[in-house]
Amino acid sequence: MKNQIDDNVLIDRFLDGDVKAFNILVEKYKRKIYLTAYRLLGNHEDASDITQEVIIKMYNELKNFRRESSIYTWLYRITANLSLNELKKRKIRNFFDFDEVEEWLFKDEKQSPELSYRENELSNKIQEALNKLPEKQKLVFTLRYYDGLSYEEISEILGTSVGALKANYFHAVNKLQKELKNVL
Amino acid sequence: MYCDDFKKLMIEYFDSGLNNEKNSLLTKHLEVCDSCKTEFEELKNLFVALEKENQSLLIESENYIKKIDVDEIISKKKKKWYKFQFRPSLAFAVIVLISLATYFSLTNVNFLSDKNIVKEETSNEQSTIDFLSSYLNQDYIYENIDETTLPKSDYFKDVINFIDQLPYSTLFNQDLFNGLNSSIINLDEKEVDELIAQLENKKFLGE
Repeated sequence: MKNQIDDNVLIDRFLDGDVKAFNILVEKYKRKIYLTAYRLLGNHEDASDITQEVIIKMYNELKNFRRESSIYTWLYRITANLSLNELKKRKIRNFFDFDEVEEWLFKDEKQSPELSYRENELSNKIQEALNKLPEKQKLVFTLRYYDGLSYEEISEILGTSVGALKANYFHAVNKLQKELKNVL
Repeated sequence: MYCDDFKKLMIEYFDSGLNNEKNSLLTKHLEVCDSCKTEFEELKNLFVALEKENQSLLIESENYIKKIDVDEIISKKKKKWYKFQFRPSLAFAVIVLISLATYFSLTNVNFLSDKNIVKEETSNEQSTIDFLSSYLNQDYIYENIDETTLPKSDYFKDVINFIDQLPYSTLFNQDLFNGLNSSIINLDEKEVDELIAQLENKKFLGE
């Protein structure tokens, strides 16, 4: 509750012209936005792009934010929408089969070794398994497991019933278990 | 309860924990059912691995997150708008257009009187693509922050009809691709699949 009050104060200050208040809001949420986008898209470059897009939307549209939900619910909704749109674009891009697609798909593998602290094989397998999930299941699993949101909060973001969300989560875990059975 | 029901309990156990009653049911079942015990172990390994991988992603992402500079993003956005406002070529184009409009209105020349010319232009492939691209780039898609509240995309059928009418040679045009790319913001997953199916069909038929 305190968080929400703080956020509302920051929003009011920003709408009164205090840009610092906007920076504080962004600093507070950009990590969550970035990680959610990464989980949905599977690479750092797209996650950075989506985070920037969310920040721009936030800057332009905070004046229209009705405060019926908390700001982080609103930001998750924007992040989810933009990330899903990016996934749709990928489908179209894959159809057109441009040369850059291959480069784009494997760009994370080309990153310099000093940037990667992760145990690459397992990390890649997990991200691959996540990418194989249907979009809705991936989204629900990401918001529930990685972001730790309650089913009620996810329901507010996605406009889906709690029962359906639990079913999505169940199927997602089942599929991940099957996909990763041999590497765990 | 069947094993499938216990599987649900297991996932609930790792998701949010179980109350005493459910916990005791599951524990008793695991003592007597080997296949469920194996399932339970697999799930346990899965969540351990996910947690481990998540921790390493958090460390790895720090560098990328630090690079996201709010001031830079906002100032870039402002610069773009500034450039747009004072672009000399745009100002020149506006002056030329106004001069031409004044000239034609003064000399009373109706340059659209020949309908055939207009028809010929719209049948031109490039015009079709331009029209499609501008049609797909409707501003309202971007203006509304909450895409989920937008009405269902009525223009989807029109997009499909347009693609159907396009000559095969224009199908793999970069402009068309860009047009499609920016249009799909308002399409749901099924519509995207249908769009791709339509494109694939077109490619297959080679019309």
